[in-house]
Amino acid sequence: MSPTAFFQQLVNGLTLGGMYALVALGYTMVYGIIQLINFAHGEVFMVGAFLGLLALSFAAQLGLEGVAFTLCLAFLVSMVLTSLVGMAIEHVAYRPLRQSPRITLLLSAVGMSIFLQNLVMLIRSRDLQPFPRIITGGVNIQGVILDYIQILIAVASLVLMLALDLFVNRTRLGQAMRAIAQDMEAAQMMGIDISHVIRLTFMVGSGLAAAGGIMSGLYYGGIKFDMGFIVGIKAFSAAVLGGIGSIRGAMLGGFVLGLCETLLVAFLSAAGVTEAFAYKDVIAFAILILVLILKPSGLMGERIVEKV
Amino acid sequence: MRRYFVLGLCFLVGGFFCACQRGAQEKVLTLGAVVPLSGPAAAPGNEMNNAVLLAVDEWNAANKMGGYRIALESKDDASDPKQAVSAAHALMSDSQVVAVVAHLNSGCFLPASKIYHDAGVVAMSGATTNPQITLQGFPEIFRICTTDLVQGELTAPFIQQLGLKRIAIIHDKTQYGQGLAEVVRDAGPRSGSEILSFDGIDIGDKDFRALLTKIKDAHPDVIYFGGMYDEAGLLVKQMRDLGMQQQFISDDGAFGQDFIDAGGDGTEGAIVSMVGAPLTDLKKAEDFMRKYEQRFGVKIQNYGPYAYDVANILLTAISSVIEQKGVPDKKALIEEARKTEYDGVIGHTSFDEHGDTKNKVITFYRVEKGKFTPVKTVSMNK
Repeated sequence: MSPTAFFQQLVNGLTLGGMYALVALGYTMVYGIIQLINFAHGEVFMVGAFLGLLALSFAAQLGLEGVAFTLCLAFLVSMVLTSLVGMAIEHVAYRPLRQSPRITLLLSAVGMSIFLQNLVMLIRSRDLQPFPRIITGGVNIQGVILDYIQILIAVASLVLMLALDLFVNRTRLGQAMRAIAQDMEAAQMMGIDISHVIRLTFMVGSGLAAAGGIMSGLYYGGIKFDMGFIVGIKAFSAAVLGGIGSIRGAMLGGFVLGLCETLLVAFLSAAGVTEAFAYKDVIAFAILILVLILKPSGLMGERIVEKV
Repeated sequence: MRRYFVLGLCFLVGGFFCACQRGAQEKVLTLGAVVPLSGPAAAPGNEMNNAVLLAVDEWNAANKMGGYRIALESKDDASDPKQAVSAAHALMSDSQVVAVVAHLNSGCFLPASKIYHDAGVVAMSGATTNPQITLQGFPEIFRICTTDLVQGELTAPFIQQLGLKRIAIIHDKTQYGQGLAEVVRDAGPRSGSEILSFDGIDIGDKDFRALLTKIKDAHPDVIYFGGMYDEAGLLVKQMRDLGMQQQFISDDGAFGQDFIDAGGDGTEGAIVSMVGAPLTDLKKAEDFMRKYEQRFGVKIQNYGPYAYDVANILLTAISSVIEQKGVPDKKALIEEARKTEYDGVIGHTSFDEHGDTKNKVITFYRVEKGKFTPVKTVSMNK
């Protein structure tokens, strides 16, 4: 592998990882707080992308100009609306089942995922929707191409993750979240409004997924009703890899998975593994299994003490 | 509110009785259609279904089916082999189904063809191009499009004629995409090309930059992709993003507006092959496309004309069976279909001993200003 190819793969991997990480955060936050794998989260990512497209085309119709302005607007509108969607999902599909066994919640999540996917397919279209390519071009550093959109994805996802980290660790609401994650009953006894905090968790997670959805649309140039499925699986794996329940773990897991799929596969291919690219998911998931065997709680997960 | 409800109920019950009475007088035969109405290939699948609907309505309006009314029963295979098999079973359990307009995806038709064979029902496809399908020895199975063998064999010399030597091949690991890519891989060296790499990707995946970065490092002249439009579009876009200006060549799975939608400006100059001669060369095709656009409000993109011809070939054969026997006899239909000599929207169709079309023509199109422009038509006809 030439040095140019190495750095190009690094860029590819980090961009992919940034998007995985943003979606993985939603999984890990919800799991941390109510031990639910929110299978509808991949669909929330998709809904976010569609709402972003809607906002962008609306802005174009109104004749709004300026790439930065319309983009910020699209992010804002989509993140706010999607967090409301997340809130609605929690209210309809999970809240009534909070006292039920986990498996019931899980089924409800799968149902919600199917519902959302088909809803968007019926409302919009089955076809791929072209996403406005408002950010084009890039810089060429000695043959390594760094698209502006890749820079945007890297910067935006880092900023959002930093903001989340500060929110969870430095604010009262974040403290409440962490308290519930540790022990819901005790937190309730301390006067924390559980329902309120859970709702907020869903909103924040959904908002981040929406940002990821728009970035995906901008990056790949198109969105489709079933786009959330694969991203959902990958992001969920990233969350598990990093240690589900751990926020910093989800971020790390996202980047590790992104780099596994690109850089590691490229190394294997250069080392003579035939068809390495055809089996990149196999390789990425083999790494996941390996990590979980060696460290069952994930890269940054803490050992959970059995509650008696 | 209540009054409207009662009124509605009356209409419903009334309509039901009318339908029953009509059913008693009228003889009905059913034409089946199994195409992807949902899933990744829903766009061409719906186009095919609409084209079949158009043909059926025309036949019903003309009333030339010996007193029979033709009903269309459409099933969704969602491009999924499992669903294709269950759709085929469901259709074959209905004894009214005389013939089937079959599948868009080779991966679906291959397993389902056995079910049509077991039921003794003619199944004819306008879009499945995997060579294996007609080589199973099932007399009920036909298709009017040329196979990947033809497409691949003709693509390799075409690439060579463009003056391009070093080919990097990508495929989507499906029976269709990989099968076609393998033919190009094997035929390439025979026309003097060098195959640099042969890699698979996953359908539904969106990020192919890692693979493309590796390919870029090998400095190919041309990138050939065997697969469908979404992945083809994403590939060509990401190639251009990575600064790869090489010629991109793909197949009939990428022939359609969806490819340009997915790939954007990057598709400019890309070449795709499509079975048959350019439709603009054929008078009948123009007529069909106008009718289609009038009825459905959208333009024909890819396999609609093939589905239309399949439906017409089947219905023509059924009508001559009815003429001879008085009933739509399924066994006689197999023989009748084999004798087909039909001049349709896509040109002349007749079948060889396997049930494949004898009209082995493909055309290469280049994307120019967001439109497919015919570049060259090549043929294997003897």
